[in-house]
Amino acid sequence: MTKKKLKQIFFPLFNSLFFIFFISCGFGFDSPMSTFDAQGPVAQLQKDLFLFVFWLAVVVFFLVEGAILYASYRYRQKDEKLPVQIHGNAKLELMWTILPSIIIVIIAVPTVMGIWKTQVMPDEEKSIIVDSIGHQWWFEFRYPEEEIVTANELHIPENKDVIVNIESQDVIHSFWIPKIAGKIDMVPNHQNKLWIKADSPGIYYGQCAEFCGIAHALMKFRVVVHTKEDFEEWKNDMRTPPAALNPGSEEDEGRKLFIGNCSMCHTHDSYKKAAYHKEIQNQSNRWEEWKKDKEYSAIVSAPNLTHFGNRLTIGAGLKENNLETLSNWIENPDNIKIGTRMKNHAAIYNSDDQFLTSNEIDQIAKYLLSLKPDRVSVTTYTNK
Amino acid sequence: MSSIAKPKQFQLPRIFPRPKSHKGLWYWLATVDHKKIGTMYGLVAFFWFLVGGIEALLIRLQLGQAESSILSPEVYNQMFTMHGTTMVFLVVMPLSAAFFNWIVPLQIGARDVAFPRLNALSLWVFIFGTILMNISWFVGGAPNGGWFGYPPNSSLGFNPGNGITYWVMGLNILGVASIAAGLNFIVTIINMRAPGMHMMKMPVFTWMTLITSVLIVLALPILAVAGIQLTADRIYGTNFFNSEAGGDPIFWQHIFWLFGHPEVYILILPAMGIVSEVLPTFSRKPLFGYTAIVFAGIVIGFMGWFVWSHHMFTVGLGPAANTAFTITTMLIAIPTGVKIFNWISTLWGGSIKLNTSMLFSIGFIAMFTIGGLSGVTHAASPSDAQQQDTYYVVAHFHYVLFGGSIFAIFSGIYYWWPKFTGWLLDEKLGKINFVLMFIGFNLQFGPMHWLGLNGMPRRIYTYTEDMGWEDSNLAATLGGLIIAIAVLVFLGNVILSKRKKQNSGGDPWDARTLEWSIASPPPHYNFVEIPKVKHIDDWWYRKYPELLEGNNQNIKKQKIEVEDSSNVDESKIHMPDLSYYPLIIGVGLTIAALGVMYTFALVTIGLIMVFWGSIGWSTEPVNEDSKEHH
Amino acid sequence: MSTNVTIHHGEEINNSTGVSHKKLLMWTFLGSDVMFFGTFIATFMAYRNKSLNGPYPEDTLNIPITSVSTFVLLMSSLGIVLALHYLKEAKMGLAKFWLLLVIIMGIIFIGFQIYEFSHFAHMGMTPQVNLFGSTFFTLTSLHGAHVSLGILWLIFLLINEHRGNLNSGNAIDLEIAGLYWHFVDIVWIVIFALLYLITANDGVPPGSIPWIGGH
Repeated sequence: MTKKKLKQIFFPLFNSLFFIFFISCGFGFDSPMSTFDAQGPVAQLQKDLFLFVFWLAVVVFFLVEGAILYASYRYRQKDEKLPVQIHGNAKLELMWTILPSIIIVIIAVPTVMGIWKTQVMPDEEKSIIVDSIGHQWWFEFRYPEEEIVTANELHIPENKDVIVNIESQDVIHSFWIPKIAGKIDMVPNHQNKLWIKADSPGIYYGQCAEFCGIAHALMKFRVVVHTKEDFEEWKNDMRTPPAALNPGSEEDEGRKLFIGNCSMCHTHDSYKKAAYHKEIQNQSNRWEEWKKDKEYSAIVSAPNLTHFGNRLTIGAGLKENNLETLSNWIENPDNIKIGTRMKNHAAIYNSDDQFLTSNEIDQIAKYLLSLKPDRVSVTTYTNK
Repeated sequence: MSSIAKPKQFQLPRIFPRPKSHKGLWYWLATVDHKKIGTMYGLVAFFWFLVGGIEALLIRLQLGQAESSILSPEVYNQMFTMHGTTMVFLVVMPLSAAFFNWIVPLQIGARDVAFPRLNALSLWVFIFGTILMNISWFVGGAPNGGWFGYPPNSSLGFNPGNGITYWVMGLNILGVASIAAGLNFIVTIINMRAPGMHMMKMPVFTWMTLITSVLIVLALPILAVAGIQLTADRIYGTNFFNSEAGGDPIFWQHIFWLFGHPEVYILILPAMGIVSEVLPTFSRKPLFGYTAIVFAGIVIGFMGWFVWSHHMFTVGLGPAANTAFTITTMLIAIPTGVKIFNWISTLWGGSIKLNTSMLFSIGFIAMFTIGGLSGVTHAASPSDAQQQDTYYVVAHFHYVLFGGSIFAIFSGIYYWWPKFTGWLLDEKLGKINFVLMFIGFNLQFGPMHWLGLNGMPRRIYTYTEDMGWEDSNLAATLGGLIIAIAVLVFLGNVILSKRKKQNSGGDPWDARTLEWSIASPPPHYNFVEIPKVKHIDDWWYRKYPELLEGNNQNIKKQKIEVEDSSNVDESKIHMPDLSYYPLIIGVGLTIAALGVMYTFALVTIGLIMVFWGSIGWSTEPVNEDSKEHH
Repeated sequence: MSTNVTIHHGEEINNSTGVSHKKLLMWTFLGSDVMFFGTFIATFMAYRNKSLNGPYPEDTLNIPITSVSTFVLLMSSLGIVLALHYLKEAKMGLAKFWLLLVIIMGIIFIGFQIYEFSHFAHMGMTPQVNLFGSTFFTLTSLHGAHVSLGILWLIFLLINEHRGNLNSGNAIDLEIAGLYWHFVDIVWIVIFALLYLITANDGVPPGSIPWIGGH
């Protein structure tokens, strides 16, 4: 084989490898879900461990691939003579059994330490406890100590240990905030625990990472990390009733429509005293109700809408929460998210005499946006 | 057996006597020749390779841009489920089986496998299983629960409709086929080696077939149990995975992956076997560390049973379990490393002929290494918590299964094609095929590492622009298209080369093992004379006897021709006649499986066919005219 | 070039181990079947005491009755040993007698199982009612299917024996069926020990599984 021919073969190979290398480098790590941009000790540990293994792997990669390319070039066929026939070499073979073993030990030590560091929970007394329940296709968050319940938005203070108790009501989901901590699955009949801690305030992206049905791609949430003071404010807010409405206003009309059409499934007043346990009971009842008749049940599990006006997003982290998107959602959830139980079960979409006019939809949207305490208390944060 | 003096025979009137004709469709339907069966395995599996590839392309087109709507979410879920299932069960496993069928009896100097009719049964059950599974596209939607089918998402309550039921029934049927084939190859390899070929003189491909068959025979029953339980849940309302009755969805994951991890080695060990044949042949020197490579294979096959929970690092099994499975998983890197280093040493100091087959094999080592290294990054389970169920994992296992298995299978196709047909595939087109596939493969799956580390979860049908995943996805889609072109080049190569029909002769590569010591394509009885084996790579040493004297310089090749089968009195070599019963039993099983889903009447019809087939099977003589009892 | 000896493929001319193909096949198959039953038994054990509602094993299982059928099945193993023994010695009468007896014992065992299943169903224990039902019925009925298949096989052999197609020369055919029959018996011993004897007193499980929202 001539050199020219070799060039014909190897040139494209090298070329493509470089091409891929450049493409990859050019993309950077700027995704809001990048695991490289660790913003908490758990994610940091996981990233450091990855990079440790990665750089070792890079060394092995260049050695192995280099040897392959070198051998294929250096020992290419030059004549018809038989090369020296070697059947093996016990010493060499022993060496490359032992060397990887040593590398494995080097990797295993920090790995095992990392497993116990990330999976042993911090002291419960000194941590904030959050229960997160996966539903098809949204996240419920409960603060059992504070008796607060909300959906699709996890609020935590910066620099504080948080223990998330993780469960699922229906199928298996997975709870994942890439910048703060690796994922853990939400499994029915199992309670998992995840330790999270965020270094600095901001808004973080979370997403379901276990295939859970038709809207799996659209099951997201946001994590709002507050400063310590803001977190106290937020908790206060969650216990404060929303601003009073003027009778006869659009919002007030919306309130009536909401009570009549939506409130069987969506609780929107969990700021009240003792509302927490009632909501838990209600959510459980709705689930039982839906199970009885999965096709036609008028009642389904649904996100709690308390202080919806303060929510950042609608549809479980899909769109910005504003009048336009919200009306669009109420008009037909399928516009934004496929497969919602609301679309499939609520009478306003399924019963001819209960369709809403676009005016009524706007009123409901306005009412929902008015659901927040009558003060500006919480700092607005930017995406991390 | 036939050597026994028989009392007077009572023969029932026979509806289906063993057919004699060696021509036409009926011959193919009734054949028991391992080579014909191998060919059919190969053709059917290649057809599903194209189908699975189209499914992959559609997935890639959907993901090529943010928020595109080429596939609906429902269809997307069906696509990735069927892509995974197809590629694992309908492509890589049967393509490996095609090589087992074609090559193993030839490599061990046998006339056929131990149970030719059982072999045909495996084939037919496999073919009907693939059809059964894919009927679902046309009767209300394909399965949409992922190739792992985790309940409760795959249970009737959350997944009404027939898709998943077809999927489980299809898997069960395919399981029967695989187990039957596995049993057959174990017996064949253990019992039918040519005189003198003791275990440590077997070709490595045969060794890997043996290990793979053992894994199949032990692992597939576990999948069968999972399948039966899920079927029972869906059809009869049992509670195995019904969380509301206390059933445990994690239990499914344990049994699925207890099957699933050995399955990974079922997919890769045959590939390792192919590469271990190709590398020495085209380096013109023996495989470096034969014993080590064989034992590494055995160790991999054994340790594959103790790592299943690394698919479940994020399930919440607790730190103790995660530690244990992290360590067992990392240990597998050691025998894998041994293999890779031995392969490189086989190249080292050789006289390397870089033809297409060799390029694919070298590509295999290079790409499999990448897959192995990324495997270590998620064996480290804390780091896996960030990678599990992201595109990083997709990248990892495609480097192992595409860069690994598929590259090796293509290497095997180019290597053994002249043995299959008697003519050569075109080298120029072959090299274009390789280069395109290599570039396309890396362009498709390289960026997926990035995507995963950038947080893109698996199995999402859409993503928004602000996630920053678009460029990498576009690159991956382009890569997918290049792979498609590479496959078209391969098909073109087959068609053009068939027109040219460049005669290969029996031993075009100056190769080492027994299959090259006979004519191409081999006669239906393979060997005129069963060879007597003295060495590993016996054929090689028959050609270069000087090597045995320790001579290493200026070796001269002996003029030895491959066995000439043109003047053989075939009546002296008795092979079993054809049989319809494997086909009948295969059809019966499939009808019964359909009946489980629809109506008991079909089950009855199916079982009657199976029963009738079995009776016919066990009473028909080996050869129709000789009236001998099998 | 061609040999003078006629070679039949089926003759196992080059048998590397000396164990016949069929026998090796059966042993390998039994290895495979061990995994099959093993996984079902593992399922049963994993779900033991996990049923959320009754009927529980203590309400349903009847150890004395099942002991009888177990005894019958175990004796049939002895029977098949004798059947094989006499077949090898070409004492066809005794061979046929014992084989017939084994078949009858197998049928008795299946009869007991049918009685047991219908009795359980009568008591409200079905595969659908709880985890105990699901795991119990799948495991025992698949074992029953194995026994039934064995019975069919033995009947087929008995007919052959009667016609003179099965004799001392090809006793291996019965030996292989015997391997299968012994295996099915051994599996039953495990099932009887795990599903009946140690489970028999399982009642209401100590703590039911916490359900969503309950804490």
